[in-house]
Amino acid sequence: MLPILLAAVLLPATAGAQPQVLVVDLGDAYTRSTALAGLLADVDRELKKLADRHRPELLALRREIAQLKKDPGDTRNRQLAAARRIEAIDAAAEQEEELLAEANQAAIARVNSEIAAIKRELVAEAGATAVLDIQETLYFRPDCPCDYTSKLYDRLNARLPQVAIELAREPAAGE
Amino acid sequence: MSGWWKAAYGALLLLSAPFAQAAQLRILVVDATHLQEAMPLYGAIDRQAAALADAREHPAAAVQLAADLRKSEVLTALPEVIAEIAIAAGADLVIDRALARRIGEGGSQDVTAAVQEALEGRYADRPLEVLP
Repeated sequence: MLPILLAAVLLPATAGAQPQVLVVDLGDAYTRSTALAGLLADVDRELKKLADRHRPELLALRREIAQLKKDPGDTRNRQLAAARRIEAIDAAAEQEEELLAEANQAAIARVNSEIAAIKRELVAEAGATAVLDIQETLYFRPDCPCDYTSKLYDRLNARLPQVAIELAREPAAGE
Repeated sequence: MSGWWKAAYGALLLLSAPFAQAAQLRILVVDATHLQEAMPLYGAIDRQAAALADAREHPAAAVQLAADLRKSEVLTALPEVIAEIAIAAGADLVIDRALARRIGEGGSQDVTAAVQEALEGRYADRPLEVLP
């Protein structure tokens, strides 16, 4: 009887106890979140694609202007037309970069929203009163039972392993 | 339940109390704004700088720079001192007092005075180092 009583009293007190405040370290989010790491790679790839798409025409136009300057006769109108085309391409590229930046922000917002939901779940499950970001603490014991960083990333990566960049229609240069 | 069992159960509850509290975090709080901006130590550094400026042995800009550097040293040492005090107290977390209140931990032990004392012990009597 006594061992049963002992177990009944001691086990819930130890195994069931949870920290009242949880702490998460989101400082390495771009490496620990597979979605954010993938997003970073996707954005790099899109930026490279964007530059590659416009480079051949821009180079050709600049060569054309250089050649027109050497040509005898009045080439000002043709030079002007080429320069305007370059401006249009630059403007379109800038607009595409803005769309990419917006899509990136939207994707980050989806991850942040999931992180916020997971934080609420962890707090509720642990019966804690709050979840703090490590930046909000002035000291944090490294092996603190309140460190829920791994739990948060495990859940985030299971639930949101990747996040797609949803780009709006790319404007054609000169539009 | 017999009297013996009641007594045994009561004793076990008492025994289990420390285990139940073992998972409770030891949270300390400090007034971070006071430590970062309003400690008397900063005033002492300013007074030391004023005395040096009055003596006119060094250019005023060099004295001001020495005072700014000393305040910067104090701020740099602040997290280290907080950590030392936290480790000595076996604390899990140290947070700002205002944050502690917001999350319902306002009753946690306040170690602002201990941190201030440690910083004063380290810097109060140290003369400013004015670079030539």
